[in-house]
Amino acid sequence: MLSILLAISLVSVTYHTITVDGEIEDFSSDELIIPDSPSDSRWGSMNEIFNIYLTWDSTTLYVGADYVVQYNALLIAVDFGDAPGDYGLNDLDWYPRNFSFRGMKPRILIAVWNSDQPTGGVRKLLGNGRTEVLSGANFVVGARSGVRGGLEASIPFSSAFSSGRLEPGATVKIVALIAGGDNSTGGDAAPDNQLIGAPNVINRFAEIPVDSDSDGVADEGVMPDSAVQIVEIPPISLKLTAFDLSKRILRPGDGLTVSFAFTENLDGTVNLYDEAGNKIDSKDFSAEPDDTLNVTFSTDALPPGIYFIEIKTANFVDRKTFAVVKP
Amino acid sequence: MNGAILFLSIAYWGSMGIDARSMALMNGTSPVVSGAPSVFVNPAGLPFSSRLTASFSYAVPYELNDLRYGEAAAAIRLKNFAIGAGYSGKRLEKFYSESNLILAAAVRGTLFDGMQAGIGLNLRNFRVSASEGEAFRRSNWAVDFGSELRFRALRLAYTFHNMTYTRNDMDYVRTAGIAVTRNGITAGFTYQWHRFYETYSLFAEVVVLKVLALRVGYGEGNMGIGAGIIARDYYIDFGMNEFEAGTGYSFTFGITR
Repeated sequence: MLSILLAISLVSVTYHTITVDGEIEDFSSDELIIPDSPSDSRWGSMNEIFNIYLTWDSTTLYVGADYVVQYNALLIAVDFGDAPGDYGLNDLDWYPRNFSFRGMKPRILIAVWNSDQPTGGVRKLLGNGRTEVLSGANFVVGARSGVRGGLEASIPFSSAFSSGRLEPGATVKIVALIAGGDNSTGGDAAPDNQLIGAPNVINRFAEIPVDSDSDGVADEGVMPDSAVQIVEIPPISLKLTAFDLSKRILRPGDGLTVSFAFTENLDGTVNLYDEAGNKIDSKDFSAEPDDTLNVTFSTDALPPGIYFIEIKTANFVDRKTFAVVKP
Repeated sequence: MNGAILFLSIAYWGSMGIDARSMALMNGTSPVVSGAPSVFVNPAGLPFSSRLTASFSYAVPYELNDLRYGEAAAAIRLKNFAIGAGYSGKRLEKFYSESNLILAAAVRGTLFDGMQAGIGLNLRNFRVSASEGEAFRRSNWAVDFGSELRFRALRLAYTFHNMTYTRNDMDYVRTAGIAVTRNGITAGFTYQWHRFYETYSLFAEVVVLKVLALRVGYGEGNMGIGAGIIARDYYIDFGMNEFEAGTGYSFTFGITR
């Protein structure tokens, strides 16, 4: 009987409310969803991710990291399924780093530089590089620069989802990264990813259902380490497979349609510039692989001359010219 | 100071010509231009130069693969009077082209001791041709005006470029600039009024040992840099600037004698 009671006391299941204080011991071993090698960082022992923890209660998701960084950043990207987000981090207005994601679209970013609490926080990614502080989130760093320690963050479901509540069937995808300064790539990832090239394409992540019965209520009685899966999506090289303008010479009354498709899912903007480099118009897009997107601009107000269309994402730019003539 | 180092021209992409020094100096050089490149910028600068001048420029704007600019100009000065001619062209692949053929004349005079003034006019033929869909051809004549005042190290300039494409769609660029040149160092400020927006340029140039010019420009949050080498009667310039729309590069070869 004693052994059973002891076993129960060592098992932690949801709902488990974490006191966000930076002490990683608040999480139990059953909430360790991503154990990572203590010696796999490209940047040595002072910049390592050791363990990533996750659990939740009825209202809040809790994330913990056991790590060390020294003059680098720790980033934890979290995808909440259907909620908006960003496929790339390189154009963010907060902690821009040269990562793009395949198979997940981070909605929440937890980040801190050099384990310095005032530099960090929890932000919501709104798409096309925009971020805002996640209301109700809590964030405490227990580690110090070059000293292994914990980081804990709480993410209220009501703030993470656009609808203001947990979406039925919601699944959380999560990956932790150590990166350098602005627009740099990574030195360690949990789960492991091939941190090569620019951007680093993150195609391995942990996935865990939070509402497996799709009743709109976070699952109770779940052992996170049993429910988690490490998912790997085969990498595809990013290519612009189509980029066409409906016309290259436009006359009064002509509209301009820009058609394009990518091999990879990503967000970006289509910009219209005049010859002097002034941005005349700009439209955001979110592309799925191999979907052809059509973006239309009115050219009625444009004076005659040369213009160009720019398709711009966090890591990709291509341009095409056209001209407006008037009799 | 070798007259070549004053060979500056404005780099309003494709509208009034472009050269490497203007790229570096963020298009603000109407107060200090002289000789052949003046036909693209400020014709009043024509008589403030050596007797014979010529320049050739090639530019790649915003790293665009299908858009190229080129220009060439020559000028001759006879005492206080100068004439010049220039040609600038740009092309979008094979379906669109624009060109300017410019004839320029200018005169300078001394108002009083130490102060010189110059005025100049361009007669410019602008042609545009488009071949995609229904063929489009247009040829217009326009007149540009430039003026300059020099007093010791001080340079003042005002220009008006008529950029009319059609009779019903008036377009223009006006510039007003001030610069100070002394001991091989030039610093200046130019304000430009375009039809749809206004912009400014701050720029500086340092000539080292009369053979090397280093340049930097700033305008509207964008930077330009460049360098030039002067060898006897010849000079070679490289300039680049960075806009949100992309990076532009220009190369210029010039002769002055």
